[in-house]
Amino acid sequence: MQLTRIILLLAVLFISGIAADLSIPQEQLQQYITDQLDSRATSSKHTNNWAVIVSTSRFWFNYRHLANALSMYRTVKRLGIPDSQIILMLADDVACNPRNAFPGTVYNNADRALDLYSNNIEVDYRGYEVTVESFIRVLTDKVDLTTTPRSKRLLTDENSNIFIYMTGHGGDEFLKFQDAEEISAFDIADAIAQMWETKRYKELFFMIDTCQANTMYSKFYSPNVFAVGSSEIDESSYSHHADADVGVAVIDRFTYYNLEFLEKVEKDSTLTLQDLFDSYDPAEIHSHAGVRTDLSRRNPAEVPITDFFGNVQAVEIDDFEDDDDD
Amino acid sequence: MALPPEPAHTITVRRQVVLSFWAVFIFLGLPLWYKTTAIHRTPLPLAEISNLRAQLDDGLGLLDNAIKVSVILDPLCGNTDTAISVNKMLEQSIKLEGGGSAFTIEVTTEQGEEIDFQAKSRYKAVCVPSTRNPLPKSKVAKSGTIFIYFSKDEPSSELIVAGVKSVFMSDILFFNRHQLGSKELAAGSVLNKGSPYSDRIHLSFTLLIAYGSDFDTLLASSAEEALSLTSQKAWRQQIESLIFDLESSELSRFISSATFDSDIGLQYISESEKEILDNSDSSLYQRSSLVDSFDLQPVTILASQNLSDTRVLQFVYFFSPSIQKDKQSDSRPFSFTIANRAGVVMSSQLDTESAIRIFAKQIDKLLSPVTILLSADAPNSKLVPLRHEFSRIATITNLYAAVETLSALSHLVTSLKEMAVPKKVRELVDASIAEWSRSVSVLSNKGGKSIDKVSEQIGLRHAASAAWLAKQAVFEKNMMLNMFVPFEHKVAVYLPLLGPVLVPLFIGLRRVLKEGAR
Repeated sequence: MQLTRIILLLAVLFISGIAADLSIPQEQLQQYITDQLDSRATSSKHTNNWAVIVSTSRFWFNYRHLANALSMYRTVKRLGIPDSQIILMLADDVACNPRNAFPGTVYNNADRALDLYSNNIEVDYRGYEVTVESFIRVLTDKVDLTTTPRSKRLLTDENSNIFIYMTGHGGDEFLKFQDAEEISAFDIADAIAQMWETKRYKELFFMIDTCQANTMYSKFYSPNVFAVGSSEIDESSYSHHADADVGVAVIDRFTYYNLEFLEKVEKDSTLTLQDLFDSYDPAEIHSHAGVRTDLSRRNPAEVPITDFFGNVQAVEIDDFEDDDDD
Repeated sequence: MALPPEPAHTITVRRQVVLSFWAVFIFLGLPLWYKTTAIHRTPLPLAEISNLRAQLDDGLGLLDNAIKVSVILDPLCGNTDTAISVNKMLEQSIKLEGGGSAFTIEVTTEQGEEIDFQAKSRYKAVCVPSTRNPLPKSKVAKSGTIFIYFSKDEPSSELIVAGVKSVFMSDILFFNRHQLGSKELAAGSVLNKGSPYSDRIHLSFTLLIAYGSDFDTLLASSAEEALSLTSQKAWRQQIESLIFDLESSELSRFISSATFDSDIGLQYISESEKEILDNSDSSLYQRSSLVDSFDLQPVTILASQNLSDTRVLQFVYFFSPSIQKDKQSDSRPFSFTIANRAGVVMSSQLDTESAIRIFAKQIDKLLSPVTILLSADAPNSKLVPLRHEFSRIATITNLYAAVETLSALSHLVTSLKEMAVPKKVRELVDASIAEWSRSVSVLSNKGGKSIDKVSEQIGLRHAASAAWLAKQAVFEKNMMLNMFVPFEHKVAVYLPLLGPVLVPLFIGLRRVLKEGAR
């Protein structure tokens, strides 16, 4: 009888532990956001754009995740972000995989019109370098300065807008890295909090394409963050189509429809984040894309899409006069 | 049939065994488990950091000799009320990064005929009706005198404020953005070579030229080189002579205790993807849109170079005949600077001599604000008359930056309980606070006397060190947050480990207690 009671008590503890909600209450969060933004009030525009693009999956059958990442990479480059301001992390090299029927190429469409793995890509973290630790270190810039080249660092400041894109296999509040480890929603939230405290971004746009993706941004608590995910909790994200010759799926649905929208965007585009959000159609994506905007005071309808996908340089005109003047 | 009672000896032995296991578990097992799983967090001096913040909020009383801005209003500009209004508006609108304001604004009204236009002063703004002085436009003299011309009889306060701000605020904004020559560099100049804080500077010179241009002919004819030189060699020769000259004169004054290196390259640009793909040596090509003359992205730094902690100045000379300039009659190249890191020159015609002169001036601008130590020489720059005032601004900025960084560290450590805090972080924080205190003690205005320039520079160096050390502390690579482990994962790990131990322990204890009760 005593033993039975002990076992029941342990079971209750276990269940309550699982059910414990570690989220910050919404009122408290909003107050925190307001306090933070008030203490750092500035009306100046951002002066530079950065992108962190991560594909966390290994193995040939996850070809589409690398294609997702390379597609986003191509898009941000097209819109003006230079390689020196993009951190590209690819956990595997499908282009040179022996199974690749088209060696040295990566396609995101069965028509194979565009080779994403062309002669002008710069992969900063490749293969086994893509780990949870290296990702967190990139975001927080806690790297070994003696061995980490500049190209592998996110050299942002308080005037930087950052676009973070992640794709791979995920679940409820976790994302799998390399089939060996996971990063949780709390880890990413805390990393972004560290970025905010150390003034490493002005605004941040987080996009994730995995199963149950929306859970990954549910724990964010830092100001000036917009987030989108491809699917709700207990919902999977699906691939769009496969290439019969490549033999695997080549792109995911959420990323595909994002790209469809972004192909209309040019450097001088007036489209906004709200336009992007409005373009998400569950019937096409086959999952319910989520959006999080409560962490920013800005109305997404007033945020140009180029604030994150383009590159802005605040330029001052010099006026060098000859020494004899004046 | 009941079992025979156990001998007393057996019961005693059982009791001893159970209690021994419990003793090992409590006095050895638990401490060992705690020791090996606790996150190592060196205590930080949080109270001292709060104290620094409180000192800043109360006002340090440092550097009272702030930059004086004299705004002289011609009576036609307005009366005393206008003067008061302009004064108030300027004070409210001039804010420096890092808090505080280094300006004092004095607004007076004088008769136009009595204004001494020739007198040297800091930022003297003279508001003059154009009917009295028919100069075509506003003019800013190198002495800092700003002439604001207006056509109305009495300009509004807003117009006066805008005119005044447009000049000296551009200097402030420039200073705030172009920090390359400020805090860390000042720290590097103080500390000895070989110390971990010595600076490295990398100069990157890139000539961008539209694909298909006949570069050899153009360059050779303007630089007087032999026509047999290749494009890259000719460009390299031009830049190397610049660096050599800079090493021996200009640059050495700025970076005497730092080391620098350079890379020189040539890149072709093409709008046509086909041209890029067709070219065999595609590493030379960078595609760029040439629609807008300012749509020039920074050239990518060569990825192979380890420039992890190096300040990079990137100079791009872009030659394209299709660029239209606003100043059609002016054949000189014009330039612009991208905030914080690069000097860029654009030209509608190839003029390497002018370009190289501009590069030198840009290096001067980007490095110069607070690096002059005790030298009487000063480079030729618009900021020259105000150099030591900007030193003071840099000092205040550094002091604020150090405190903000330490406060951010304090907040992170207290809010993220799973974050490890290594001993090195404590050392850096202590060093930063010590440098901060030294800076403040050197600069405290004792007895109302003004601070001499030597003390200013010493204070700046300590303030820069404080900011630098605080930054090192917050970005210490071993201060990482432990990964989040979900509760069910913890149960999955601990249950199979502890279950086989705890179950017999509790059952044994229960039996011992029951026997004891009997």
